[in-house]
Amino acid sequence: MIQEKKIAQQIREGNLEAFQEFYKSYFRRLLNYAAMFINQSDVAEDIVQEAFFKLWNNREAINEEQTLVGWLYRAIRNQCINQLKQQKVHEKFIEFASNYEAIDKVYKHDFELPLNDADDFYVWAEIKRAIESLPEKRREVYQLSKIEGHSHNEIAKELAITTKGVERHITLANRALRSKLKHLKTAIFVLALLP
Amino acid sequence: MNNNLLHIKTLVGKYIDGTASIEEIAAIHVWLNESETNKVAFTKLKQECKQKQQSLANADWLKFEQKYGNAVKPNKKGKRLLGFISIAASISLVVGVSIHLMSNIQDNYSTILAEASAAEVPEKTTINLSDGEQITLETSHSVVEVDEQGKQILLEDKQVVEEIGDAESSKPGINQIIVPYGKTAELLLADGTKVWLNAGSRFVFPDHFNKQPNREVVLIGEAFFDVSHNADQPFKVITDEMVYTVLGTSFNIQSLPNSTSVSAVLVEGSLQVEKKTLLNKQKVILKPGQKSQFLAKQDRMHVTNVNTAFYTSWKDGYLMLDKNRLGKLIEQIEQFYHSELVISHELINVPTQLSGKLLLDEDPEQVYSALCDLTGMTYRIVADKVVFEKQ
Repeated sequence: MIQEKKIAQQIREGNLEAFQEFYKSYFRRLLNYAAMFINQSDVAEDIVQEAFFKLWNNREAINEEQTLVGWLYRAIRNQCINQLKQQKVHEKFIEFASNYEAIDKVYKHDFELPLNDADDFYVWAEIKRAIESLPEKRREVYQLSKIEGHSHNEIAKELAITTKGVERHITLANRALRSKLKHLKTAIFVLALLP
Repeated sequence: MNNNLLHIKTLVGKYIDGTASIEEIAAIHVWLNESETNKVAFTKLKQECKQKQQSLANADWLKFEQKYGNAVKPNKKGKRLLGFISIAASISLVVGVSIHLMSNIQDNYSTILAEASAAEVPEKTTINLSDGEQITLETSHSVVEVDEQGKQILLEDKQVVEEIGDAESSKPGINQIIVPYGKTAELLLADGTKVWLNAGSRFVFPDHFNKQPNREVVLIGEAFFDVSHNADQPFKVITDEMVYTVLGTSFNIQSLPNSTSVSAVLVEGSLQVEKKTLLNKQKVILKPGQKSQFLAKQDRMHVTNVNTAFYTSWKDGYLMLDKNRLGKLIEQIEQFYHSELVISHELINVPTQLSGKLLLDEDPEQVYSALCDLTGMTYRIVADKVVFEKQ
């Protein structure tokens, strides 16, 4: 930690070598995070690079109480959320959304951010709750299809029901989720992931 | 260390490297929540797991540099700008690259490979050192050596000595050598492994292999390896599609960009050839005198017995000629000089009695006229193509 503080101090003073070291040690972790939000790797990468660039440009203005990587994490998360509002959401997104709290807590713990950060994105919990509230069989079908990515045929075999039955469960699950989630402000993109 | 802790250590390692899945990060969360002790342990594990893939980190930084280099400046002028010195020279490395990194995030070399294969091949043999310095060599067959400690690079008969990375560091610096068409190079790595690079090839290698689980290098193009034995630290050659793990000694690899030819020929020892994709795990182990070739159309690996000399003679500066192999020879010449040779089908199909050696001169025209002498053809150059005709 002392080492990290030293690097942060050097970066604030405009030491490019320290910044390079910092970049190298955190870039992959943050890219992984952004890629969970954004399915296009080039977009995720742009967001992370851009955040680092902003950090460098604002290095003197960043509050010393906060870790630099914590600042980056927040910036990247906000940018990812903005990006999501503009585009179709990928399949894996629901899996991410369902685990968002856990993932967020690991990163926050790592980057020394307060765990009860006020700017938490409430949509994740809502999606998770909506999926959990589906009838058991339907939820199972939905998760196998949308989260684990199995084909309708595979699911039919696995659960010993017909393919038609699988399709019906998914249609009904989508309908239920759409109505449960329509109150969300960010519904534009939440609905985009429900075909 | 019990199993559980070992497992957690693996997860934290992946998390730090940015290769952890959603599920795996969630598992770290469950473990963190178990106790305060675990939270303390996490900090410790983080230190221990510090990024392994320095080569990848260097490539990441290089890309950032290319994108924002002009805008990212240190406060004080005159300070050494590590890595920024080579900016003009290494720009060619990233032009026009599209990287499908996340589609295969386990593949830590996809960035290097994607960048390098998209780049232009320079006129002269070029070395990009890990500290950003770039050196060009004038010779048609360059000799480069990394000393045992990984502290110095010796160029051309020890005329030039360059200080490179810190040998004590567990993160070696990453260097790249690019050999232009019509030239070759010879490289001695820190572990004593010798590498011959054929024309138009790129090779990425660390200052040293200390404290690494494997000796890993990256190749685009064609190379001949004579690997020094070290059972504790396997030698791996990573190419676009394959990973070659050396179980024994010397072999030739051809992995040409934009080509269907992905092959390896083993001269002695034992070589494991593995297709890289996650879905399609194909593996063969070659015996001496065998050639593996990946047939993309059939999606399978094909192993044949060959005369290895035909595949490795380029390292000694000539191509071996054999009866009825004019077509193959033409391909080799085209690859070496990056030229296009046009020969009518009837000429190619006529059984010729070529045998002997064709010296690979720096000047391609020397080779063309030697070929004409051997075959009784004449050649002329028409719009960048070399046309061979019956006399």
